[in-house]
Amino acid sequence: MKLKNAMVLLLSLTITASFTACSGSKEGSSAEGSSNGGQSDKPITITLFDGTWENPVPEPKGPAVDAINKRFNVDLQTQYIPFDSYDEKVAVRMASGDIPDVIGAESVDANFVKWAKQGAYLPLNDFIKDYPNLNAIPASDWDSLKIDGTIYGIPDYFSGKGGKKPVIRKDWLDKLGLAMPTNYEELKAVALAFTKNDPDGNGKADTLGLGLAKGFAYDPSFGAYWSSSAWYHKNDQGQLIPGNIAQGNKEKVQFLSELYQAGAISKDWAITTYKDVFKDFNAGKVGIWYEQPGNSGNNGLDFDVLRQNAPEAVVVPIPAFKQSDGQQGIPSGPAWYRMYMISAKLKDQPEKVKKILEMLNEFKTVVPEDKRNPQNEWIDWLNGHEGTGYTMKDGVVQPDLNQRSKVAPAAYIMNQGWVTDDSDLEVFVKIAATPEGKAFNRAMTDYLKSSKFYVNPVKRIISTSYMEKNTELSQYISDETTKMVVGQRPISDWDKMVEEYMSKGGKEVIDQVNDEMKKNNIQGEWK
Amino acid sequence: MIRSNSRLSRAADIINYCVLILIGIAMLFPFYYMVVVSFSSYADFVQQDMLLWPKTWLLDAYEFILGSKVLFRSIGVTIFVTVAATLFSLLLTAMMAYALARNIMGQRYFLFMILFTFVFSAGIIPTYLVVKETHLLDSFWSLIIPSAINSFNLIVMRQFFLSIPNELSEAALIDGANDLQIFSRVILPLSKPSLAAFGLFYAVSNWNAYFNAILYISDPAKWTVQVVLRQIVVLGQTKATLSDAAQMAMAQNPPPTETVGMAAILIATIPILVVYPFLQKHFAKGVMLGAVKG
Repeated sequence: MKLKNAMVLLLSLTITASFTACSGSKEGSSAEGSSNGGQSDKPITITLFDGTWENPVPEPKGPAVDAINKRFNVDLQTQYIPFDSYDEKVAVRMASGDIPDVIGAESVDANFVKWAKQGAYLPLNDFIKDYPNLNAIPASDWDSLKIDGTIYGIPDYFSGKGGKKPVIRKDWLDKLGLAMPTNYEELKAVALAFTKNDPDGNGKADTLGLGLAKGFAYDPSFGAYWSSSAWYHKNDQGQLIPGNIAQGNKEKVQFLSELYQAGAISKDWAITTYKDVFKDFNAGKVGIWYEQPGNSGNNGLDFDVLRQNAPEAVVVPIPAFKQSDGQQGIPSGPAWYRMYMISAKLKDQPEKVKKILEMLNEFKTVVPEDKRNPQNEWIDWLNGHEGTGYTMKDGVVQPDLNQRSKVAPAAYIMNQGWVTDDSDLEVFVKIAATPEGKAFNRAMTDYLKSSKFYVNPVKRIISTSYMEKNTELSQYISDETTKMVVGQRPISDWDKMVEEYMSKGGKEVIDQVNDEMKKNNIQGEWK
Repeated sequence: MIRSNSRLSRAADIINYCVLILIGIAMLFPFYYMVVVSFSSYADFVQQDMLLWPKTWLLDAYEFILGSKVLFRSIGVTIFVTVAATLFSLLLTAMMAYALARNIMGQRYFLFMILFTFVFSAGIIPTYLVVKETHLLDSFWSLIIPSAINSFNLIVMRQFFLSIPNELSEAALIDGANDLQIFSRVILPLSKPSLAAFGLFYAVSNWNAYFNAILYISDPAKWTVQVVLRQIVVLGQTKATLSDAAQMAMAQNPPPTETVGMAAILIATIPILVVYPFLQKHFAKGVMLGAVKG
């Protein structure tokens, strides 16, 4: 019997051991103690939770945080999660009620709408007018994140003219004596010539006319009419419909299937990642592909590598094709990316809210391109001071990649001012690292500045069923049209596919999106 | 069995060896490829479909990794957490398993509780709340305590203790040993193979721990190597769904290239690669533990 009792003792010992261990580390969560809003001498504690693309991830303590604390008289407690693991973590934080003062997010998604409707975020409409840099945000961008007229998020600028655009190897066109394609027929001829006529002159048939990757990346549409994601076409009832079920996409699929038959796109395109196509383009083997103004670093076109592989390469954008309705232009998205929300728990602490907005406002200061140098106090401070956080190269701030996330406040708080005159595009030309990159960005910037843009109306409204279903529905269309391109399903099945799309919930999405547009008086418009 | 040396069986041997060698090459090739790519230039990597030998040997990738120190710090964190968590887990598991292997009051109740967690787990948010309310957030304990006892390991270990003859502890009892002495002087020394095996199980799962580190640890200085690796490797090859804006944001501070990613994986794999051959024999043993009672 003694044995038995001892066993119980041992067992309970095991259990208590795990509890006592818990008390070993106590770290006070100092979210409290911030009620000292009135006293201006005492720093206000602000907790900030955000995703990040910075690498390494910014740490909660260091010269940059000290600099921010000193400048704004705050005690900033930050927490950053790489964006690819961010969704899970923020969901847990929000669900557990452990809500920081300032919450960052990438874009308007179903979670944002849900949490805003549940009252997790503070309405900001009444605050914004006091801050000039926040006032500069145009109405069409506020539209895209308002929920029933209420603003919960403060967006950060992103050029609505940016994003991947079709580009072509101009040197190949010249070599084969071809003109820049202006419609799908000409494009087909060019793509075929790029594939068959040995444009790189190495005597081997190792070139590909048109780059295409899994899921139709990046949507070989040469204008809003053919775009898969823009809501441009109308159905018989006058409702706007998504591009992927519209006539434009059907024409595009027809075109791609002809190219596929002729071998001008890769036989394996349906399983090729977009990254592999970049690799081939950088190796000088692809004629038509995509790149954005600026550059996408290792994740995209690398002019340095391209020059080593194809010294004569010249890359220029392909202008949008003329549409049958007389229009000609590119679809644009909302001109913002990432936003900050403020916790509803701060509704009784207006001083703290104002402090946060004051900081965000100051970080959104627009500095003209020619003033971005160490002589500008703000720029020098933002980038962690010359010599420690950055160096100047050809008159351009070059961040020190290993130091930036420790010493540069720019790595901590979003800081794109609202640019209205396309001067951000000029910056890309200036900061390009190679002559080829400069030339490309020059061509791209000139093209974008002179182009017309179709403002995608679906991006300006919030529709819950669109958010819930669009991914799945788009995937369905993408899968089915992939089959059509490779010949597993006849294109004559198009109407049947659209019917299936409707019955899978597409009808509901279209109805709701159109209702929201009507309610908010929003239409597709060119500008 | 009598081993015949006929030509047929020798041919079978040769075929076996050939197949095994091929499988071995298939296993080793990824490592070889990582080494080659980590020493190559990005331009060479891009140009070739498959690099078999670096065109030019470059140390750039390693210089980048050594320059940032983040990877080494996280390897240190992981080694510390793995060692601490493994010892802690082993101690708790062995104590509890032994207690439950004896006829004690409430044994069935405790066993049921353990089996219950084996089948149903609390879910992410309740667990997060418990970790938060016990103030474990942002401390290494959050990586050690919530996963301290694996109920499967506990049950198998109990099964192992059941297989130790009761007479041994009775003899020790007669010699005047108390229960703790019996446990530490008789039972544990007899259980070395099982401790080694479960230690390995725990060590491997602790080494690979990723999700807990992301959830519970906010301070990047305390992140484990898996979190940092994922950031270096995955961010470099993000999904096609990534918005243009995200790509522009990344361009300001570009993610490391594949060559850096390969170098990082290599460096992070070396510690476990070095330890593994010495522990590997226990792995197979551990799986068989408790399979036969007697």
